[in-house]
Amino acid sequence: MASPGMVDVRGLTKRYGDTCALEDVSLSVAPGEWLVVMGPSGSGKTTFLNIVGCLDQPTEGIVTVDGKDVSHLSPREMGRFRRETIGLIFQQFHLIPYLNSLENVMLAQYFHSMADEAEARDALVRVGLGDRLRHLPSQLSGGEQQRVCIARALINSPKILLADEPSGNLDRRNEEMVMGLLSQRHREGYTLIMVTHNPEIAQLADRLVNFDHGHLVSEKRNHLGQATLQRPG
Amino acid sequence: MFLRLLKDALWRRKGRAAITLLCVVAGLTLAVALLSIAADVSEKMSRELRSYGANVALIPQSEEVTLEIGGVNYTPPSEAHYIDERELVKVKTIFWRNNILGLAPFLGSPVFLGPERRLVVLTGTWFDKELTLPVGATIRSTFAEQIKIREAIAFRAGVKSVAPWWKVTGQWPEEASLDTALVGATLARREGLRLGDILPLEYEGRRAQLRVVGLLTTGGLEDDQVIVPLPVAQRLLGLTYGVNRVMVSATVLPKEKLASDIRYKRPEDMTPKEYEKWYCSPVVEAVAKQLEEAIPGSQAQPILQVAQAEGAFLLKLEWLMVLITFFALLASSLGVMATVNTTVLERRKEIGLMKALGASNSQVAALFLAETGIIALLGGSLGFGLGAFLARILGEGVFGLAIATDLSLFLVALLLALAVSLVGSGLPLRQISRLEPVGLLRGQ
Ligand SMILES: Nc1ncnc2c1ncn2[C@@H]1O[C@H](COP(=O)(O)OP(=O)(O)O)[C@@H](O)[C@H]1O
Ligand SMILES: [Mg+2]
Repeated sequence: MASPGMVDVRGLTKRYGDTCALEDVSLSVAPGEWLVVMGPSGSGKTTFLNIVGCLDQPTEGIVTVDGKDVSHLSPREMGRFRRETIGLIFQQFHLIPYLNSLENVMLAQYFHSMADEAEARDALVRVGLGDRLRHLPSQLSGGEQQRVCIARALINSPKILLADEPSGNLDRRNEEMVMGLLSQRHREGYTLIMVTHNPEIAQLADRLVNFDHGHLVSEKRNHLGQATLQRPG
Repeated sequence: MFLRLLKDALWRRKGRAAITLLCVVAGLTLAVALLSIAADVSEKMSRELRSYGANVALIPQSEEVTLEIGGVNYTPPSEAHYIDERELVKVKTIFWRNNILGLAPFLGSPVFLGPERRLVVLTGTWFDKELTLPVGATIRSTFAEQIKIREAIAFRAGVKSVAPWWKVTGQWPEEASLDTALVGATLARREGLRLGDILPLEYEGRRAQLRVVGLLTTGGLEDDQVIVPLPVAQRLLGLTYGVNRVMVSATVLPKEKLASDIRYKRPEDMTPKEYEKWYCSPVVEAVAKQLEEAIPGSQAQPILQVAQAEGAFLLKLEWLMVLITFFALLASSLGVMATVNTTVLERRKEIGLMKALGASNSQVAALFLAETGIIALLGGSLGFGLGAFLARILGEGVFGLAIATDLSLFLVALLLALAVSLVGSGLPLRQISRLEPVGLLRGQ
């Protein structure tokens, strides 16, 4: 089945026992598109990212990512697919505490193919952490940790970036910086799917979808698109 | 990157690594110590067993009780009975002749040494003598049959064949020489005797001047004796022939190998058929019986039981050590298992993350294995050092032995340590494949 989208979701349902986390969701994300997912807590946003990111499998429906049907992959195949295609950015950063910034980025390279220190350093310089290469996560601020996480997500040139409330744990200033980095990636052509609660951030995206109780309830194309974040004051 | 990960994982998590290390070191220390002791004891055991290399003793047949202490006959020669050493070649005529590995005759008596007339024990024997059973001699080919041989049977006899552990500094006396002697190391020390010294001996007015050509160490009574070629002793004691003990070494099977119907029967109680079966079994009693029949005037005593019991005891001791070692290593594995298990639990988020980044189960497991592997190698080395030290202390304190740990045990220690860590990591690491990264985005 040839499909034009980077992500194509048809009739996606995900149940955890009796709980229906997602029900009959159909959605397409074009290559290079920035999609923001919003919705109240427990509406199924994370479940959606998990399935698109090949961390979980749908109960029903077909999910195609980068032209590949990922609905029925084995854990091993899911791992391989994640490694090649997906870049993950977490609300809690999830850096390995005993590895410094550089090593945290190189770890992703190592699992992907081969660690390349120069490349990893470049990636950190690009997120403005050229002077924090040898710092352990505990020696970094939240914003800096998130930037390491972004550098790590990007290091293997994934097709899609998935970010689940990437600025949920950050103050305003750091949120801006992180969003700046992400919108820059978007301009470079990355496909970006992001969960956020911040309507201002939602303004930056190409498109906004709302989930409620596992249903896709509304969808809005953002004609401002590519707008810059309003700086306060 | 792999190495860097390892280095940092180990270095920045020193506490946990130290506990694992402690488990491995403790297990390996005990293992190395016990294995060293077991190896040394088993070496001493095999020497012990070889010292019973002879398993049948032939003594003169006599009604009277002879006065014998420590293998030396104190009955005056005139009143004593002897075995004629010229008959000894007949050991090769018995049914089990090919099982006879060696034999040595002994003629022992106290004699006087030097002008002070101090009593020393003189023993005459063969060192390495060729014996030949001539053409035409009759040998037993089956239980009921005897045949004449058409080719001579030659074989070597002497203490070298039954007591290979005898150590001589200097030279062995020539079999045919009439004026050379070995002096036991203890006696030599006490009397201040050295190689080349002349030994004036006297017995009932007969004298001999013997030159010391070698100093003998056996760890037995011989260390306090003068050992000479048999004819030298016979001449001094005024005999033309005769020995008062012959030690025979034969390969035999343990009694347990006998058919069950005759295993615990005395030969006297057997039916003729059973007796034939017993006679043609290579057990020490049957061989002894046949030797007794072959050598005139002799009485055979199997002496294996003692050696067997002793050997069995040492073997049990050795097994006990191996068993304790095994359990020590098992305990150490369990310790490693507990720490690795905790580590996996503590780091399950990290494992989930690695898998979210696309790491395969084997990549993650390899990291953990390598980590414990390095700890194991370090622990094995430390354990070897400490174990060798412990073996030495235990050896001196408990066994009174100077135990040296063989360096080849180092390799064994490393391998055992790796095995311990592998066994210990196995179960916990299986959890890795069950840790899926799904919960990661939810912060679980
Ligand atoms: N592993 C799970 N087992 C059972 N229920 C789950 C599990 N994961 C999520 N859920 C449920 O699925 C629903 C959607 O969860 P989630 O996608 O995390 O929501 P959101 O990210 O929008 O807050 C919730 O009701 C949640 O309780
Ligand atoms: Mg969520």
